[in-house]
Amino acid sequence: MNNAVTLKGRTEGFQIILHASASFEEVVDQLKELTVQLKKDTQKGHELIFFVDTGNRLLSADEKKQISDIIEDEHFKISSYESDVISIEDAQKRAREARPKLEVRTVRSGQILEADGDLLLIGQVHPGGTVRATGSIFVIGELKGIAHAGFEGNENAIVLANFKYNAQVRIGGNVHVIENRDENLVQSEDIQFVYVNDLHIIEVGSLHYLKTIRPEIGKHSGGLF
Amino acid sequence: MGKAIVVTSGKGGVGKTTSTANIGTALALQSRKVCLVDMDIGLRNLDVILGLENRIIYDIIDVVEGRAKLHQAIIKDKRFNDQLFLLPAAQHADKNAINEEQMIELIGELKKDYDFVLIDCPAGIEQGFKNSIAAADDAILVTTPEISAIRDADRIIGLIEQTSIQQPKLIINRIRKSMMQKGEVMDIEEITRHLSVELLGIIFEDDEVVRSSNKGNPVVLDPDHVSSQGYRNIARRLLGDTVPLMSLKEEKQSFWKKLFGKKR
Repeated sequence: MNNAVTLKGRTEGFQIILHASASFEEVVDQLKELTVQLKKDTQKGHELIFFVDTGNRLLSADEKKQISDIIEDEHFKISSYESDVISIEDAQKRAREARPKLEVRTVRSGQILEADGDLLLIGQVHPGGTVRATGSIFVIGELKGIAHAGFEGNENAIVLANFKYNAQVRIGGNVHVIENRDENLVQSEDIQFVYVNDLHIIEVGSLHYLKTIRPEIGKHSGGLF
Repeated sequence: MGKAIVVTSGKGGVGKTTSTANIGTALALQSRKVCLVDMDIGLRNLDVILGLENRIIYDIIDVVEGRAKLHQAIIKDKRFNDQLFLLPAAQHADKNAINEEQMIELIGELKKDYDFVLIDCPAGIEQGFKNSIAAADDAILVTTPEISAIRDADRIIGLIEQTSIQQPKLIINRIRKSMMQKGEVMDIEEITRHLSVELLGIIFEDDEVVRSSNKGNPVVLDPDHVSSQGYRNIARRLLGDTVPLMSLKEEKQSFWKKLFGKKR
């Protein structure tokens, strides 16, 4: 029988490698044996941390639970599951997020334009229209509707546009209404950007400070990481 | 416990939304707590006329589908001290996204907190109309002196009579004095008699309505216009006052007034 499970020591704890060449049943069987042996060898009350490395295999939530049930008790804990592979779906999403999506169009009332990652829109967002991205949003044209950056909660995202019209900007869970009726808030003719500051308050910044405030923007390599 | 009033017409473009915004504002000016509910899901306008479009964060469908609490979706009009509120419609859904039971529950909640809940009904007699009248206690029927609008109004009265709502009250909107005086359109008495419902008020055609709506300010805020006076009278009648109907007679401008009076 091939070795389906290997135990290795690491500075932070133990690494359990589940070999992808073995069937899941074999893995489960050998893991049970291993755990029994380990529990015998370990002093009572001694805490052990495990990192499970699944190699070229992706475990479903069900299978993860099976593994956890075998290993975990009050002293044995699994810290994380690691894998050398990702699902096609995840890979495609990462690839999409790695480069900004370019759209040339008008987003009309009631329409929603969505993007994974950053979005560059050349065109207009009419009142009642929505542009939404998990990353940042850059608008070249008139923004009069809603721009929602960091749609899945990324508060480091920004919205860059000319904010001289009534509009609404959302970043993560924060909402900011851009109102021109307010005479104190004279809108600039220039392109500005909106970001969430350290106090979790939305703020409008001049383009000069973009590099200081969000140095990571524009540094996407095009690779996965 | 407040009162829910639906503003409806059957035909489109006769001024339901404008009337809802102005009557609501006029009631708020009379220190009543008012909530306007836009039911025109998919083609919302009430927020635009009130100048609140860019303040919308959640809408009625978010509330119904549990993504937001009712109080989160309601927008306060900053021009009034806690008097006028708006529950906006969704723009990317359609009229079937909500049903009658959900409306009854929603409006029931609102009636606890507000003196008046004005429901802006969409044109037509489909699901949107059914939703709008499902939760209403009273109805305001808006028509214009045009025969097509009156036909549709008649049909709406028939539909409303089949429900538990009291007989609707009539607003005749966009009256052109000169045409009515010349007898080119049905006059106020004829329309009221033809539809055999109680007349709530008349609004004269006034360019200022469009002008001020475009700026996001309901015309009723400025008392100097004929249309504004009409809406203020309607609000007072809704509150139980007796207010005489405005006169149809065109003010004859004297020669001297024509010469020197055109300062405004």
